[in-house]
Amino acid sequence: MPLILKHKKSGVTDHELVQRCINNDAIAQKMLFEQYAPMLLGVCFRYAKNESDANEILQLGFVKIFNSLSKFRFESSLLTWFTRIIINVSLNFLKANEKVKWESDIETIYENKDFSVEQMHQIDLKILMECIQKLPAGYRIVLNMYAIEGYSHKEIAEEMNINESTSRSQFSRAKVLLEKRLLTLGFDVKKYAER
Amino acid sequence: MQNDKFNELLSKRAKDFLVTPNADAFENILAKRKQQKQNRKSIFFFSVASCFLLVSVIALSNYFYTNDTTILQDKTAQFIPEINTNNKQKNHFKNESQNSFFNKKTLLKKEHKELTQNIENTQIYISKIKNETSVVKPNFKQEFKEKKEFVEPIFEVTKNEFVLPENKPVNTKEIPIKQTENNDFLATQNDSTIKLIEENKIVAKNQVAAIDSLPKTKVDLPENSTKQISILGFQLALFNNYMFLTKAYNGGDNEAIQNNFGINYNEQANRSYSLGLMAGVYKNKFTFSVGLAFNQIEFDKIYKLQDLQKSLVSKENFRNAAGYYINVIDQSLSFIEIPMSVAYKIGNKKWSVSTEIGTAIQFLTQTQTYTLQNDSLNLTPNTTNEVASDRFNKVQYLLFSSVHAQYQISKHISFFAGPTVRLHFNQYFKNEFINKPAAQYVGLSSGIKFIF
Repeated sequence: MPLILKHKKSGVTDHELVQRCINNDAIAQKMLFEQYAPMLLGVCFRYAKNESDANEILQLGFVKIFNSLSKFRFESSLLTWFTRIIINVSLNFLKANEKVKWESDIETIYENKDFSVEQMHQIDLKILMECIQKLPAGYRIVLNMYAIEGYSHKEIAEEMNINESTSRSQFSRAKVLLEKRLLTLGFDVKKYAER
Repeated sequence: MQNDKFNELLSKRAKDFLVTPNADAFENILAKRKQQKQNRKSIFFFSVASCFLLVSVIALSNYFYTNDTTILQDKTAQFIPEINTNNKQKNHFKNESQNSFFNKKTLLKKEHKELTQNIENTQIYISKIKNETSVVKPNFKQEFKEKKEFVEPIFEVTKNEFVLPENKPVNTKEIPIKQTENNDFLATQNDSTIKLIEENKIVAKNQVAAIDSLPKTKVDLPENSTKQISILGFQLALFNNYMFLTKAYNGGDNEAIQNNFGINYNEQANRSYSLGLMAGVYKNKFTFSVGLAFNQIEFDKIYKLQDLQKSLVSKENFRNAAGYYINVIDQSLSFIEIPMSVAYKIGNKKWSVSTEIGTAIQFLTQTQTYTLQNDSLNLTPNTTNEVASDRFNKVQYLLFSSVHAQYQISKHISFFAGPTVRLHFNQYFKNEFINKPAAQYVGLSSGIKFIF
């Protein structure tokens, strides 16, 4: 069953909003942008290496969204569809603008036992995102796709044209490096818990 | 931490991460889409221009391969004197198998009878062509439809400042105003861009931005800014055209030789060259130009010789065709041309496509033609104005249209090339005994533009 959502401010349904955007109604396009841009920019931040790139990816992504809206069949939510587009644009942007090194190493599972569930809960979101942004491009891509988006290593391997083992290795390294960096920042669980 | 737990927590936290985009993000998206549309339009026009060029090339090829067939078998020429060939002559002959010699005395005995037959055949020929010939007049009516993507609100300006509806004073010093390369003034406030398009009119480029943000904006334009505004640009174009006749055009008559005898000929324009300079002013995407050019028409004089007299023709020079011989002589007409045109340009700064339509008037300045002299085909050039005034229309009127692909080499110089079509309103020859269609040309136009 199609998901019918109403725009928070105007009371316009997604169907109407999409139709008006397809008809090049600039006001509707701005409404759509204002509704979804914050969530999608969050996705862009995770894939990009800095804020400037994230904004660029968001703009490219919305250009693609507006151009492709007529193809949307309401079989999923708009946000899911938009997120998929933004991820594709992000991956293409990274391929074009960053040198992605895929270091295929022996499949060693690193584990940092110093980093706990509580710590992950308490980390400031902005710091967490900055740490993800600072990861090498290969690590960042696999971490995002596997840990956050829920892709399998097989799907990542097909998408990025790498081996499955490489994807696993990249994820393991990314996880350890991220945990290490968060700890290095002098993260204090109690301090953040008090906030 | 275990992978599954790590993934679950990271995913949950990451999806809560919301970031407010930059203020100008949406406007940038609209600008990017607009740029994409323009690029698509450019690609479309390049495709159309390419197709047009391809069709032109095919038409020209077809014309050249079938050119000889425009000369019909003509049974009216009855006398063939000796031909002294010179450098100006080109001989094209067909059907070598019929190249036997006749006795000159036999020919003279038949003269009277053949002359009578010649007159009868000529009358039949003229009446036949009159019936067959029809002039197709081109339809010059064209419709232009304008499309506007956004209706841009225009605001009036008084005394170097403008105040948009819902006037609310704003510290104007905080609003940066800069002059662009095109002498536009751009002011940026909030997420909006304001553009001064005329001395007293301002357009908010983005409709949404204008509605949402601009009503609260007041902008003072720089002092004396109106004096610096130049809404017109100037350009010079050095161009050349190389054109081929696409519509068969024939002049023709019967030249007297040896007192009572005549020999038929046809005259047919083949190629046209132009070299000239056009000066123009442009505003937005439109350019209005006027110029001066030298134009030369090459046309052939074709003598048609019947096989009955082939004994008078040297074997080396003539080859037999299907019942006739032809002898082609190069001639030319020179004109001074004054073209006027309007062009519309689409595309980005580097690559663009412009469509142009215009009219031109040509004044005949020189002719180089040949006529029979005395009792032989000794050809002597006639370059006098007397000949021109006798045989040719001194003024030509024409319409032309072209599609140019243009490449910006530097800030002030661009190169252009593309197919062009010319339609003449009147004939080169006057007092023709039959009504022939005026010439039509298709060819390549190219040149360099100097933009100021």
